[in-house]
Amino acid sequence: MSLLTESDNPKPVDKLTETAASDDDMVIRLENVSVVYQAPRERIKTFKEYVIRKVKRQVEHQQFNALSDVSLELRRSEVFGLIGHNGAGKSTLLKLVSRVMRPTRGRVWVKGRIAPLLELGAGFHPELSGRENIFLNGTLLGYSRAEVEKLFDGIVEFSEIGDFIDAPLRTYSTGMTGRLGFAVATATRPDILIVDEVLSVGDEQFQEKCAERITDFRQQGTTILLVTHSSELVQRICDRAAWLDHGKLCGIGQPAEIVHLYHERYHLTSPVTESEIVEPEPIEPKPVEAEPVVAKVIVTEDFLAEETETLSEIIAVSREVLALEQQALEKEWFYPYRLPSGRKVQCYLPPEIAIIHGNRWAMVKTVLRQTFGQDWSQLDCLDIGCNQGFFSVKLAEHDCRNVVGLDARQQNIDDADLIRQIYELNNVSFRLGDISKIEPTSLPQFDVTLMLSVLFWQENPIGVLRTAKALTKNLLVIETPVAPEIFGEMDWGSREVHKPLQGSFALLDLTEESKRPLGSLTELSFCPGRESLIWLLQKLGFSSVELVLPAPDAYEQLTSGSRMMVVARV
Amino acid sequence: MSAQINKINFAERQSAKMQVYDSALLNNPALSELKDLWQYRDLLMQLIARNIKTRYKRSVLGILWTMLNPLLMMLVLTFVFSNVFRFQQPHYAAYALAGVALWNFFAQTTTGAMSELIWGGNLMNKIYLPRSIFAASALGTSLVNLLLTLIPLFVVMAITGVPFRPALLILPLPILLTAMFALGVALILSRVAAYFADVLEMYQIFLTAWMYLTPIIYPKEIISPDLQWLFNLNPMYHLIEIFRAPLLIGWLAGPKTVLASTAAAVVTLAFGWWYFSRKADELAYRI
Repeated sequence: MSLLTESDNPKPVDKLTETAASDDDMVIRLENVSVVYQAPRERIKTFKEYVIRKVKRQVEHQQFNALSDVSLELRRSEVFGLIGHNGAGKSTLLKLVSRVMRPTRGRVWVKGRIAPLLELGAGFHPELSGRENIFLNGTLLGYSRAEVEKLFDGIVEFSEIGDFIDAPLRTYSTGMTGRLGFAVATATRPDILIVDEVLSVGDEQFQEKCAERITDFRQQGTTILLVTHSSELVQRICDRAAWLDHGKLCGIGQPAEIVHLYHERYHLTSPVTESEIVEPEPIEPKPVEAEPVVAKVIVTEDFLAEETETLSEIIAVSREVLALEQQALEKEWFYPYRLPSGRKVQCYLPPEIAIIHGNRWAMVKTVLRQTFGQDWSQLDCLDIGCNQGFFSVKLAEHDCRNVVGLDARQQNIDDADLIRQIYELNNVSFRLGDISKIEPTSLPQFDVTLMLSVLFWQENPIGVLRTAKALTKNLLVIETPVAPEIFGEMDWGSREVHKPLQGSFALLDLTEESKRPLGSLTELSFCPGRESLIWLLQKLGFSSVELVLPAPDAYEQLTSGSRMMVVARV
Repeated sequence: MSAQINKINFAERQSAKMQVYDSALLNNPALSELKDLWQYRDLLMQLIARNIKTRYKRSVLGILWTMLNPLLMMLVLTFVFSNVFRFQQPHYAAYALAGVALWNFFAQTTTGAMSELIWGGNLMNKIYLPRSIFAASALGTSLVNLLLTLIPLFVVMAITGVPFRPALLILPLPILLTAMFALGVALILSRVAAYFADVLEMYQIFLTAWMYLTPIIYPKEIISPDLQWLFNLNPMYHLIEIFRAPLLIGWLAGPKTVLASTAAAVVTLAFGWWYFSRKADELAYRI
């Protein structure tokens, strides 16, 4: 990969031209392109003024080089970043590529269809119906009427406009307009997608679909040209990058190298870590490692609350992660994971039930915050019965030092590990193990132990609680459905002697569940009631046991008290 | 360099269905503008449909306005000129209405082209469109309006007893010539309007003056012979003449008039097209 600066090489030619890479892969090629504007020295706005000055011979023209001698090649399916300050020539370059402008000198060659960066809904007319606007906008983007007719149903379906299709556009919400615009612009796969860092995808619910479509495009070979002045973004997501300064191409190559040069020039603090800058071997063409992306599953209190990602964040996902995401998308999940590309996995719980995961996480988070504050970086956590790893991953995302997820099924462990890889988390691991069978000494002690939806599957809940206690240094959080209460006392050997009941346990037949692939491990379970669980935890030596109350709008089983969460402190 | 270009050509052949844009192949802007306009003909139709639909979408009478508007104007003119000024123009109502209809066709095309180009400025900065499409859609829109105005014109002719003669069949010719002339003017103005913001306003003042200097609402007979040369220089004067002739006289206008208007139409369009397409690329960053 060649690195070019003006001084080394007056005519920058990307070395890719010289490699034997097949030309079939080339999508954009600029050959020694210059754009020179000739403009009056002062901006003359009116014709009257122009004529007056012309007569007085006061019109002085000056030349302004928007681009000087730029050569560049973009290939199929690469993500190419263009950095530079305002006025560096980035938008001129985009205009050349999208055929809006012709070069003064040199040659621009583009193969395939370009999806332009329109503000969503540009070119729509408010008085026309959605239907009419689809045809107007489609033909604006260069489709023929017949092509738009073919794409029409797909566009309507994708944009979720439904019955509004014949209503005038002025009656649409911003979200609807945005959806329609995106649906038309991406009705067929473009060969080149131009992405501006500030462009957002529209409203929240629609974002996932947008993300899915863009990711599909990428996988099918769409080249992405990203224009930004954020060097951090370029480094994180681009395969290659170029730096423009005052119309000159100052460098083209590996993003890390380009960003380094760029920062050197402007004496900026680099977002790269200290050690990477000092490294004196920039020739080595190592792939720029994506920084462990702080995953985006959940940031807010409620897990299902969506964030609006920009297009650039969505394409920020590395190819390796995309391949892993593909595996995740082919599975069914217990948790409605939202992947870094913005897509959601298929969740077999209906959404009205799936909210319980978010509710429980919000409750766990509240407990941990109250106990340890905001900084969890010193915490070691154990997630017993981690299933597909949801809570382990959450803890790891919140920077716990070390998280171990324990589950009795290899399948769950594998799934959880897939998610861990997708989120590129290094502080969590998953282990095979059945809490009812393991020796407490086989594991170290943890600051926090979670045991969510575990206790009601156990035939020996007291033994399980003892093991959990032995593994916990600080805090044990239990969440489970609870059995109905029985109060009172029972005879103890004679009618005169009575023992008070400390609560109830319900005996349950799990034969059916145990036949299911991911059902119960045992055919029997002995499920504690609320009073018995609290009493037991105290009896086992926890110094305090507190009930964690759900938010009023949480899942019905939590608010009604059919399930409960308790926190036991050592 | 030539070896590389050959390689590109080879790649081009291999993926023939992929559209390829090569700035080096754009040697003849006038021709490529024409080709692109043809490629975007469906968009042209959409733009015309949009203009017509949106103009009347929120009015009760809708498209009827296109016909009522010149009709009402004609009524006013007929009253003023027949009773106040007492012109002796036979069939004055049809005479005025025909003149107004053709003038409006010209005026709407030229002003419409400028405002549409300015409307499209934002789009043109982001995606490629043949720039002439805005002038063309303004022309198409005014043409539809003209055709609709022919209906009240024929009604007025029938009421006021103007005979319908076979000469009406040559009416498309004057319309075509006017369209060519209007498009030529529209293209020239569009290019200038892209550079200077005040062109549209100045043109509108100019247009009013031009209208009064053209025998539209007054009979051409009132022109003083001393000034006839000035009128002869006015292409719209000839175009309106050859438009009215088949309607009112029932025959083609005189050969001089036909020749003058054909020349004006062809030369203006040819020049306008060349002048506009030569700088079509620059328009995007001028607007």
